Amino acid sequence: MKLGDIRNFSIIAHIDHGKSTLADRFLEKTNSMPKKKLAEEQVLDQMDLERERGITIKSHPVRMYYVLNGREYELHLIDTPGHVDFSYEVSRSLAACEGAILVVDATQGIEAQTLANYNLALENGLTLIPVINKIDLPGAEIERVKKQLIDSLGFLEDEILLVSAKEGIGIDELLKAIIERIPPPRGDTDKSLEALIFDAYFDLYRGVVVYTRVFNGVVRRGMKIKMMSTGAIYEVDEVGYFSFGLHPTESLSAGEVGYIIANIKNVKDAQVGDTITDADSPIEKPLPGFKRIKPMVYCGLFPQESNQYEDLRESLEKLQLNDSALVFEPENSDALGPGFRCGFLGTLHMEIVEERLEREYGVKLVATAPNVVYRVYTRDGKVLEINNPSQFPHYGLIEKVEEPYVKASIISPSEFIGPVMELCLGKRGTLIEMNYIDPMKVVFIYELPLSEVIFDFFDKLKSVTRGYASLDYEPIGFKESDLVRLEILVKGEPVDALSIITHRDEAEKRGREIVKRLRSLIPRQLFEIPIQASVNGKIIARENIPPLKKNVLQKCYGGDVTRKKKLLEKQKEGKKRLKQIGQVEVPQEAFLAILKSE
Amino acid sequence: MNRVALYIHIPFCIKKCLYCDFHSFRFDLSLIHRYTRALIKELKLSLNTDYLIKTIYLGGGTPSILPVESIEEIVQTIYGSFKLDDNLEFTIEVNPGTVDEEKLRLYKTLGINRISIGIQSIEEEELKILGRIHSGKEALEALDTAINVGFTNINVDLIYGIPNQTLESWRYTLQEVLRRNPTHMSVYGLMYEPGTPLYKALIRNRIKPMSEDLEVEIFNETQEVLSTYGLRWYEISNYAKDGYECRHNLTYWRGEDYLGFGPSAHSLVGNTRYSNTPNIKAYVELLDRGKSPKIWEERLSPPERAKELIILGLRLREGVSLCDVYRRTGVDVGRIFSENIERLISYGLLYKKDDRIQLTEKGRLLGNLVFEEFY
Repeated sequence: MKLGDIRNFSIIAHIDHGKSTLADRFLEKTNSMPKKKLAEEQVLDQMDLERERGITIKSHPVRMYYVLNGREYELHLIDTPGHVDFSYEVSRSLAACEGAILVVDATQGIEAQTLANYNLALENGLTLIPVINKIDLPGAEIERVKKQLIDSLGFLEDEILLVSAKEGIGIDELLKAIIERIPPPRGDTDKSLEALIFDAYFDLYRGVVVYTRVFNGVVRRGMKIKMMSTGAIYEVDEVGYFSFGLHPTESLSAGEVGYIIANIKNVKDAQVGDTITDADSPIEKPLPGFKRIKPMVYCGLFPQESNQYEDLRESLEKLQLNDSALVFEPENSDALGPGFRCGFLGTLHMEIVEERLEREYGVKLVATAPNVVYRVYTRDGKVLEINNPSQFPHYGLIEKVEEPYVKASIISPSEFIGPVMELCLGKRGTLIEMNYIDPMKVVFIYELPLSEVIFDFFDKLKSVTRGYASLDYEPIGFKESDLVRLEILVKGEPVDALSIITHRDEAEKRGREIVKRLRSLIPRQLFEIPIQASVNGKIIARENIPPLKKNVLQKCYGGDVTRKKKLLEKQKEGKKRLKQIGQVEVPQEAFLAILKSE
Repeated sequence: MNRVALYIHIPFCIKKCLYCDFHSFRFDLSLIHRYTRALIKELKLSLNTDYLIKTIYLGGGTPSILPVESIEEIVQTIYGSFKLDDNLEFTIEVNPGTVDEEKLRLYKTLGINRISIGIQSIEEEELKILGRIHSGKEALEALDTAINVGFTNINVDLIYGIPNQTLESWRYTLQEVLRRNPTHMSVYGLMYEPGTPLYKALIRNRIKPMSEDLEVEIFNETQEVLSTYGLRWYEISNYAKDGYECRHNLTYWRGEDYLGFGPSAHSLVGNTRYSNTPNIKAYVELLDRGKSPKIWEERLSPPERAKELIILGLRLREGVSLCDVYRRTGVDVGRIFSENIERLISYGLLYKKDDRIQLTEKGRLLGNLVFEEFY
């Protein structure tokens, strides 16, 4: 295929604005879909989790052919992940394209991820095609959304296409626009190989399958390739393109999107954003934009039954083969026994990993509340990166503490300006900018501590705006904060898995909330259980769980024995889900109780 | 010869009490006659002279609503079908409001030598909450009549933990009963059994359960007061004067053999437990056709049997001899559960002397925590 006949593009949108449905229509229109798939929806989202949650977690490239004016074009659609946790992956997928379709829901207008994706696309120099989707819905406000696109994002009125992906309206026009407006890839097949990794997955039988976009040169079977970030060299076993599965070809040339299999054993060796070159005549400089992925959020994962520790380790290792963003190291908790401290891109990524461990690997977990990474400067001049509140140094040793901040864009109907600002203030936010997208809609740019954002910010934001606000954020580095460790003591013993890092001004309120919640979660036991919260050695809140005094079957005669035995068995079953901390049995919900606030 | 206890179920009530989750049917004379016939057939089907009957228990339901002729027929059938121990204990449960002097005299002439009276409370307000059909006065009258007729082995059932009950009202009920000097008392804490009207009222917040502190106070005081009348606790909820412990119920708690007759009645013979259909119509029809009403049977494995011996035996003050369990089941429970036993001892719930384990004072109120350990 000549370069002039190729188009590489993505679809970008806020969640639920119709990205996956539009992809389905493209596949139908270009006859790219296998027959048996036709009846399904969101055909590119293959994982159960993706379908259930209605989100895309992995990239899904697919090659399509479309004829326009008697000429056949090769279209590569790269369906990108749709969540703020995966924005780096999105940016690398976009870097593999020349253009993107920016989809906006006609009933919703511009939302936070519309903006975030728009900015990512511009940073990558992409040609954008603005599309207003769902124009068939009764609540569609086409003119208003058009105006938003023109006024806030600088599009021209005649650039904007009107589409209903659900009804198949405007799809041909859109395909035509892709060919006419998005520039074909440029590149030189005679140059040395220069290819971008934009995703990868691990296949049990074939090793890592690398998703790549070739910018210059050619990659073919038998060739030696080099990963520029690590210098590792592999021999290519197979190359090909995607179309509901892998289709081997002779080679992939400059401008093309496809895959490489090269006996790579771990996705860590095929890092997203890295550049692949020819090992025999390497290029000098890698493609720009490569970042080593750093976990933003940590939590402890412990097996419910201590004999599942090895299973948990093996499962994490297997998951990691396919998820280079997941990190873990052994952690020994006084309260929860042996387990792992795990790092994730964000809380969604964390939930997905937890769910997959339980669902696909059958490991029952106790998860502690997530936290961010803190940078602690000690009096003796050391700098510690703390990803576990229990390792927070003694307050006497601390010079200062820094925590990660994010730049958050919040889009909300203008009637909720007050509540949104109040919420952000309470979450230690600093307002950077506030702009009207149109008279009814405002975009705020705030700097907020990431810890506040992962805590319950999004839920609160949704609740103060009756569900209308949207949120997107990106990390902007560390800032100094007045942070303390809030310790929880159960029957006088500090419980490491229940301690949190919090702002000094919040500590007392959080402490009171947590002990109150624990009081209702921990079942009464044989003795009184004081639950205390302490900061810097000082008790700031206390609740008592009174002892259990009476729990006995009053009657048990001949006919009752079987029934009563079942009752006892049930009661016993319930107890198995409790974790023993010292003398006290604590249910698992307790370890997440510290996450919520009143 | 195999010594067994005999249980006869009379599943009829004038009105079901609001806390009761047992199988029972409304009083219906024609059904009662058919039922009596069926029961007699079941007794005859089991005719077995290898059994020596040590106790008979007519329970319910409300056995005392049966016409005296029916009782007589049933009793005569038992006497004709089984060999009886010389020292037979023969109990009938009676409810105030369903007995009079004549009935009680007849029970006595039939050889019934133990009366169990369901008084529960003598406070009208409390009886109403429980859905009892009698007044407090009638309850005490029934007790007086039984004494006057000459019964010397009398049990009284009482319930504490009734919503709105106070320590004072409990003391009043207790005093009125104790003044009459019964030889045995069953004192139950009210249980809210799922499915009962009382349970529904509780979850709908229409009644307020007694505070646990008051329940415990009542329990402790009751035990003290009863002991001054010579009534010693011998099972979690049961007290008796020396020699008046209910031998029939001891059979259950000691894991010894019993035969049950009537719908939903359970039997245990060796390691086999079985039960009859709970459906009274099916019960009557099966027996009309000469068939056994038995619908369920389980064979207890030795470990299962051993666990049962422990959780039932621990209800008794005498507790459980671990050697005895080993001898009867071949399961070395002392070894298997040694850690659990140690833990329970350290919690102050269990007491161990030689090979015998017993609930402590505290353990009696927290029995479930102990029983659970053996699962």
